[in-house]
Amino acid sequence: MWDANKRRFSNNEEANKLLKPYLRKGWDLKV
Amino acid sequence: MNEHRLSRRHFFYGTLLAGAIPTGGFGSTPALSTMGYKSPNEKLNIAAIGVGVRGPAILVGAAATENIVALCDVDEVRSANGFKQYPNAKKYKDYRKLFDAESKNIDAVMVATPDHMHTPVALLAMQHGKHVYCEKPLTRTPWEAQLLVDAAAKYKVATQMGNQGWNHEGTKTACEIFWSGDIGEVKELHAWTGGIYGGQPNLPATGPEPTPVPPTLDWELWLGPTEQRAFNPLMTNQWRAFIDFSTGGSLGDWLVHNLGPAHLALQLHKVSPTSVECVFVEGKNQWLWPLRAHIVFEFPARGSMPPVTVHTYQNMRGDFQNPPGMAEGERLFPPMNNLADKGRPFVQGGDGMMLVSTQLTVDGKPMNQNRGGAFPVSRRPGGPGGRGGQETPGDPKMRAPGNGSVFVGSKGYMATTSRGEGVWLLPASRWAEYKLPPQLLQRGINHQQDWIRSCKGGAPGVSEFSVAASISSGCRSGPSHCVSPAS
Repeated sequence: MWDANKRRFSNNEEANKLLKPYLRKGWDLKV
Repeated sequence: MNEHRLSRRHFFYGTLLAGAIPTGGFGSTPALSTMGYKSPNEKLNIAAIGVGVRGPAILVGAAATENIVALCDVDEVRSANGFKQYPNAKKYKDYRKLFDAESKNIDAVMVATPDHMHTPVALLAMQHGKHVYCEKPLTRTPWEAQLLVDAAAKYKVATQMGNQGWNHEGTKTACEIFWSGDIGEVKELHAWTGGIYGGQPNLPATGPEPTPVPPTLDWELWLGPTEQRAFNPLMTNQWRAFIDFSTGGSLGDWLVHNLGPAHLALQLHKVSPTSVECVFVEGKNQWLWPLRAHIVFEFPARGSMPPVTVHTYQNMRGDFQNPPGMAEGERLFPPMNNLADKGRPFVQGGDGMMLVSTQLTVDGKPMNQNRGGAFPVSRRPGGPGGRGGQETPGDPKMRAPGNGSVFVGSKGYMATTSRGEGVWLLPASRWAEYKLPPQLLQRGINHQQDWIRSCKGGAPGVSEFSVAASISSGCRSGPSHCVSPAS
């Protein structure tokens, strides 16, 4: 199931891991 | 113009379309210049990051009217052709050094790197106050997409995702046909892509073998924020297949194109899906996106539009049945630029030059039709821009019918081709007698010029980041569900 408010799956943590990138040290991304 | 049709269209979806139809026109004021915007009469100074394949293709749509002053690429071999096309532009290998040296000289940046570098480059550009045109899909992940949306709002810059079909006559006409009510309500929609651009790498079970890094490539900078690993040319040659470097296989790469007309017409960016589910997947492993997939998105009602189920297929047909009344052998998707047959003329430009009129010129001269850099993979069947899935015998459900989308309406079917460069009603007998509704959406020269107008204080680009982020995020969420162990 897709949680529209949280923009993540409510029942699939493995898929959720792909919704935010791995960032190598020194590559922090902040607005 | 048929006044009755115009009136009916406006009432059909009412206020839901507020903002969907640009009022257009240049809004340049003295205050805008203090925010980094230029008047329509001034040329922008543009830098491009990533000039291997897509960079030159998108630059040509801006170079016709603006100055290209700086270029950057981590790969000396891939960028050689692009660098040669702009001999007066300063050349860099590290985009961070480009901004250090050129920030005061540039107004805008075009980003055409692999997907995993879109966010670092676009974010730094906006932090320098530069307008940004970023190739599609906008980002690899929804988290990054939201980051860029927030940055665009904070730094008040003009943005555009490079899904050029959104400015094509076919896409705009598809919207107008749907809004006219001529196909009725749409509760079901199907979209197909072919195989992954560049093909599916044949990896050994242990993954890519370590290989010496060519002296012409800055491998560490190519990797950017992704996990450090040994070089293998499959990663730079076929990065679209790799989970770490791309958005989501062929669907992740192409849904912003194939679903473009639907996204705009059905106003899908105004809601989030209530369900994202991978219902079929084939050929997945820990490094690569799947070979085939069928992903279903459920969208809630938007104003007076009912909920809609969106089926998306990578490299397969699924259970889709042709609309009733289609003759044996009748094609599902229209030819590219088929609206010329209905009196909507436009020049067939290259991939970065979606011109929509034969009358448009720059400084009184026709715009250059050269599209720039090479586009090495032919439009063969099975390719994402091709005419469908692999031409293999066997189960017809495993062969995509083409590259495009089909709207299933309560009063008829409408099909769009590829990025929206073709549109027609089905069956062909209905299209033959169909009269197009009035043009109500603003037309422009091409997708790059749509952004440039915005950079100069005009109306926002049709695919500014706040609009593009939702469809780009969907390109990731669906394939992510497919590759998870539970699928």
